Amino acid sequence: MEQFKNIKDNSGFKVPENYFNEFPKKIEEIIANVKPDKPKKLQLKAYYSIAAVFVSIIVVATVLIKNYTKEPTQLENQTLAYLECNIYDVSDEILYDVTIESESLETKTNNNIELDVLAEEITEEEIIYNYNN
Amino acid sequence: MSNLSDLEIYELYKIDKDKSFNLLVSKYQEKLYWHIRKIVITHHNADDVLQNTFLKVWKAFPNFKNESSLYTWLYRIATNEALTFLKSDKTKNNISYSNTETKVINLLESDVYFEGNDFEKKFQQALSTLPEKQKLVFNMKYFDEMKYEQISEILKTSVGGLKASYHHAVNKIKDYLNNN
Repeated sequence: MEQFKNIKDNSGFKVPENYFNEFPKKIEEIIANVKPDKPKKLQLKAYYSIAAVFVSIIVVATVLIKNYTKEPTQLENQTLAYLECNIYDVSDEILYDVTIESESLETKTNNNIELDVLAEEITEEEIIYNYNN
Repeated sequence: MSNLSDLEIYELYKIDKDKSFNLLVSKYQEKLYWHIRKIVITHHNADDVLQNTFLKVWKAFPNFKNESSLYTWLYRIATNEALTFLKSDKTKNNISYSNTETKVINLLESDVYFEGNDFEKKFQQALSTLPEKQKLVFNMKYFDEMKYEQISEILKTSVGGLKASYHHAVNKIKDYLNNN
């Protein structure tokens, strides 16, 4: 190892004058020009998304409020009136149908009872006849 | 040169990033430069690798956990950057192990910031014949006068393995110098 001793202190490598004074400035400039990191980019994306959602909410809210407070037009009034008349017609029809159905049901039931009574009378007569013979 | 300790620089980073980083650069630029220079040989390449090293340090400093010392962390980044540079250089120029000695001589002769004598050139040639790991261990132990424990932390190798590597490296260099 004796022969290495001179090499250790002076291996022949040199640096430009003032290199170590200027290097910190150089690295400072490089770092200043470095593009934003991924997390920063993601942060920016998140900000833009939040802003877009906020604007959409405002637009939708404005449209809804406008529709709610708007006076109906003449055509809309006419349509509403027509719809209201139709509703009464339909309910009358339903009432009418229900009445017809209940009436016929009542008649049917009465007829059935009379038939049953007749059947009972016949059966008694038959029994008496069979007994006598 | 900064008089602050590594821990003080690390703590300062939480308050003033720029100031802390500038202190870090001032404190370690010279040590890291010479470490890199011995791996990549020319000043131009060493300057490039040193810039990349500090750029990486700047980006990774917020994630530094202070589990290992700042000194070994910086050395590890510098070593990795230098080795990555050598690998890409080898791929670009298609250099095989058989002509690395010629490559070193060419690099030294083309570098205006090398003023070594014949023996120093021969010494660099002898170093270039070593496997990458042995060369690193030799540089860190011999030139940077680092302890085996510190080298072990940087290269993630056992102290026993490092001692064996250094021993082999010294013998190979001696042989080379005696035979050439």
